[in-house]
Amino acid sequence: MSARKCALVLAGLLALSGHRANASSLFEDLGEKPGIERLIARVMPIWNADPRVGPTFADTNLTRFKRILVEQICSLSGGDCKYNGRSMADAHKGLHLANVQFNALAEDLQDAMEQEHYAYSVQNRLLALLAPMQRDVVTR
Amino acid sequence: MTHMVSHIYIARCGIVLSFLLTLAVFNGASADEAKTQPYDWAPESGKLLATAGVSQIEGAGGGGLVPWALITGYGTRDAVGGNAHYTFVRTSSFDLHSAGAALGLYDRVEVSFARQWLDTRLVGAKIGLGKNFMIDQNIAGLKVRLFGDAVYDQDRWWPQVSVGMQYKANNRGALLSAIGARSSDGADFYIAATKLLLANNLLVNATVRATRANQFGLLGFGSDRHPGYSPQFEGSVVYLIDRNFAVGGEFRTKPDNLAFAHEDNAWDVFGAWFINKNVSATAGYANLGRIAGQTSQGGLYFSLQVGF
Amino acid sequence: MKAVGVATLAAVALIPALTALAAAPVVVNQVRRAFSVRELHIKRGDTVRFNNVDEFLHQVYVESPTFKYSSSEQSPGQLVDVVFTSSGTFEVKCEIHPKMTMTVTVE
Repeated sequence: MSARKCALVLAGLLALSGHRANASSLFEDLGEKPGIERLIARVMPIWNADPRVGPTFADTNLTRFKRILVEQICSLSGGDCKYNGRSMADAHKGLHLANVQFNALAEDLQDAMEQEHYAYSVQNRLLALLAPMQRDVVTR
Repeated sequence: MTHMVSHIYIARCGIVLSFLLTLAVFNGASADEAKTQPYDWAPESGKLLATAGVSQIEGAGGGGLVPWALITGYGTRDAVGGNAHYTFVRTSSFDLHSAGAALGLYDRVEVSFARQWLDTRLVGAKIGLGKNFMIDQNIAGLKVRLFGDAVYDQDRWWPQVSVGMQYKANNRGALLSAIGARSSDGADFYIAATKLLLANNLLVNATVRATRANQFGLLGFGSDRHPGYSPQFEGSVVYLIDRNFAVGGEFRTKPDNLAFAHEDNAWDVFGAWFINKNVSATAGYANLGRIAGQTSQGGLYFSLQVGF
Repeated sequence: MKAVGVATLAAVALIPALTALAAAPVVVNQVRRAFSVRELHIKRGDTVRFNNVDEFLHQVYVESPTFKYSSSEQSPGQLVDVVFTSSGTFEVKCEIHPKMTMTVTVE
């Protein structure tokens, strides 16, 4: 395969991958605050029902948790909220989470995002912002 | 006759390997993991779907042709994962098969075994070896992840990097000697860097391989003119369509040591279907370049991987 | 003149120190998602020090008609002092862990 063909294919894939005609923020693509609230409301029961992570939420104030999560995703995705919570490390220290649980949270969130009909690339943009939290959230 | 015996051998190997894999799974689970797994005996399979790649033509975890820095199997760093694969490439004059198994240990070490067999079909008859003359080779692979995590390092610029080795032993010593190869076995050494650009739905990989292998080793190792190692360059670009589907393209350069049988760079384009964490299927078009004097060999590429 | 000024300043400066000496804070640990003490009896004006020795985030609040208090969230290792300025019996809870509760009776 010639170098020129390779370059064309690569350029094509890069064009497909990232370019948006009007670069909207992820916050907009998530449906802003109401959209994020709907997403969190959608994922909470999935997390609770997942045997890998459900027990983590026992004895926790879920109303507060949902509020804080919405704040965080709003802030992370470029919205004008301020995340008032503590650090990820402090918030998750006592849970002794392993990678399998962190990934389970992500998989369940993917399910919820699909149910909310987010485009796959929007889903990946959010996951890309959440993935680095593994360092602080996973302590086992 | 010999290729019939080797297929029974593969079946036996497969059974032994499956048994060993099952043992590894049972032994891997412990009371401590009761919190992370619903059942003690269930494999963890904690990695996200598709993040272990598929099986490349020499049995290592990666794309179709190129080994990647990802460790095979769905076990996270706390567990073990494994799989078996079968790959088939049908070009105009040849059939290339590969079958094997691989184990990923704690997302750090990968061991693999694959058997390749090249069916020369009518070319075998043409050059006086006999119709469907088979050339086999066994490949034992080892890969170690040095640093980086392709999935979690979305906020970092550096890739996941692994080093690996593939030791190959070909069964046609006399023939290979006759065509000018220096030896019938050899080891490839490679370093691979894989970057998952999740926000762009892209995975890119670059691999540099030190090798003497002619035609992946199927035509021996080295030659009188080029007895030693040379660096070869391999790359993959994969676009993620959704959770279950990806499309990609790859290329591999080859040393072209043999005067008798010139070889070209190989390339492929493929679609991969990750049905679930137990089964994936890859299909596409592979072009292996000239093989043993035959013009550019391109055709169907198909691979199946089952595992956990 | 100067001496009187200095004396007054000294007296004013000493007042907070004197008030603090009045009663050292009663320490209640937050540990294993519970309060280390379930019932506490203190005098009006006493300080209760909630000390988060747990691995979890905690928080302290009191929701009653005669006394309201709500702290910010405490990281592991952070403490918060609550001065009980009203008499009565109050339920002290944690916003993060609904099952975490204790009673403070203030004379």
